[in-house]
Amino acid sequence: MDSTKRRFLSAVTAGAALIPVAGIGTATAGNIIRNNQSADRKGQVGKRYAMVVDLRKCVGCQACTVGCSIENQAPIGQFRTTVKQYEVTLDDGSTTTREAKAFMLPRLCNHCENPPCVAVCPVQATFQREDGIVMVDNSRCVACAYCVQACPYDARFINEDTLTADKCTFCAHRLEQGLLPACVETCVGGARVIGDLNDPTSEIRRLITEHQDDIKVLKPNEGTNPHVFYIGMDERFTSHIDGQPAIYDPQGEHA
Amino acid sequence: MNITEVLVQPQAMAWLPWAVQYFFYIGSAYAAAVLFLIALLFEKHTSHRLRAALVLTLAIGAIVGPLALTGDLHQPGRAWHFYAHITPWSWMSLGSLFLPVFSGLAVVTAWLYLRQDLINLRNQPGKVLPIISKLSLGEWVLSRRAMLMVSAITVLSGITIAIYTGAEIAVVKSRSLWHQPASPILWFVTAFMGSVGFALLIWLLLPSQSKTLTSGDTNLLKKSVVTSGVLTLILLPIWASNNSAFSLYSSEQWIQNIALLTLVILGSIIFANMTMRDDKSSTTSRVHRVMFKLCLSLITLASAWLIRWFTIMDVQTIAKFDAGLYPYQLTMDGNGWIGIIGMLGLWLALALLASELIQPKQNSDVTPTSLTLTER
Repeated sequence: MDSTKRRFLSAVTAGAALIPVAGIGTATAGNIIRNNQSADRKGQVGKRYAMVVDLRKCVGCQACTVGCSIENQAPIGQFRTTVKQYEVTLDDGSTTTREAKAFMLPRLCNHCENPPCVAVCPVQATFQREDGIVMVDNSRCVACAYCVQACPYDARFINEDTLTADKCTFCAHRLEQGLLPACVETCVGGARVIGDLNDPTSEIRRLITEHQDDIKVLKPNEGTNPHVFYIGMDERFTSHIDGQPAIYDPQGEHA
Repeated sequence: MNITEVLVQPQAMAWLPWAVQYFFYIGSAYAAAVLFLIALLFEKHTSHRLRAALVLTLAIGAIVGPLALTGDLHQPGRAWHFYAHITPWSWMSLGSLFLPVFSGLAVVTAWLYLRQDLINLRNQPGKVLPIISKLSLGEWVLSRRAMLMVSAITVLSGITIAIYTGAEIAVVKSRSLWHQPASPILWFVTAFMGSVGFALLIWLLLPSQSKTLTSGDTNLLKKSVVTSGVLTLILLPIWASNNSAFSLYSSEQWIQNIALLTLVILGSIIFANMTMRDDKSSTTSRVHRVMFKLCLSLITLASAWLIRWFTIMDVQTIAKFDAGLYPYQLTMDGNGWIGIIGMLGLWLALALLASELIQPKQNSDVTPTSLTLTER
């Protein structure tokens, strides 16, 4: 109880100090907010989970999407992870490029080292464990969707069934049992590799070292420090994708 | 190189029209607090009727706004979590502390200012109004100085609302149209449009034989609309050009949106200049004067509302990372039109009820207080 009181008081004074300066960047600048002071929010202390996605191995089969949906029971039409698919053509009208005409981009929560979603949460329902996994306590979440807005990667959504914020947890419940996340388990090409960055012998460390010149993250300039690393990524897909969405319209003239 | 996203997962809108409603009503309330204080400071030039309309705009907006806000939570029953888990580094959490203070102060300010009107209801015919007059809680008189103090504190509290609502959205770095100083300033500036619009509406509802504004009243209203309008016209292109990923001016839809906003704001400025003349020297008929004021009220309200709609709702349809889609269609249900109409209906109902409290004087022997000296 004492520590709760102390935390509350330090939080209040931090807030009071924040008001007079009132700069827009103030609330997000400085210390990274993880909201993980309580013991049940620590996770696997000493580890730092991250994922490598080898795009050269991804065929866009969506097995990960299905595996995740079955494992985590997200409502139909809402996804914690999915594979975005892009058709790339040259400006001269030809559909051939040097390597491929389709580009697959598996997407999930980046479990950022500086997660903007955690800092904005008004009730500290979302938090980042010591092992880097960003979680939501959905019994506390008020579903204001502030975190959904703050995430630059659209990795969060308001779950239509639970009416609370929902997101990828790296299948933390499976990791704790020594299992792999559902998406990693189901990936037919072995494109997704999860591991502990703090373990020098881990597969993920080996991949990152081996491909260090070819490792890219999404929106590197956002200051979020994402922990999903892509191998074989085209730079035109790392920040804002300058493309058009295809609209599926069975009633259209090309139906 | 052309990129087409072929397997598109539509992204749902995270903030629903409730957010626009909240910004609209709470904005009208904090701007009314400022205008009310100005009107009170220049008491000799402004009328009691206008001040009453402003103070009611303040109180009603401060009641309706927070109700709209709870609608934006998908778990409104958990609103108490804000107080169980105070989070000073989140602007939204700070807002949950500022908002009840402001709403409380707004109602107290309105009550204190309208106490003399409540006392006057004692002499009204019928049973209801004399009973309501008991809400004055005695016949003590508040000094002008104390009234000014309370109003000034309410203005300060209103500024905390303006700062927190603006900063809350401006910290969202993932959307560059929000993450810029122009967006909170735009909402603050246009709040005065909403405030003038609502105050004129209440002013028209107040029972009275003569529908005339004093020259001080028209001066205050005209200057508010013109200043707010001109600043908005300057800010709007600055706001629209500050987008790193996507140029608003290359989208036909956005050009239409910006053109519409420019048009209604220009309309407000021109209309305010045309209609906000000294009523006493005006030669137009009474019906015309009422119609003009109603039109000015509606166009200023439309300006404040549309600015919030486009800058909050339409911005959410712009992709953060992918090619798209972020479809949005205003629905007919509680999260769409019914919610919007319902909130306006609640505002109107409160305005209709509250406007009955300010009855024209029945007899001239009521001791005039310093607050009612300049009436009519």
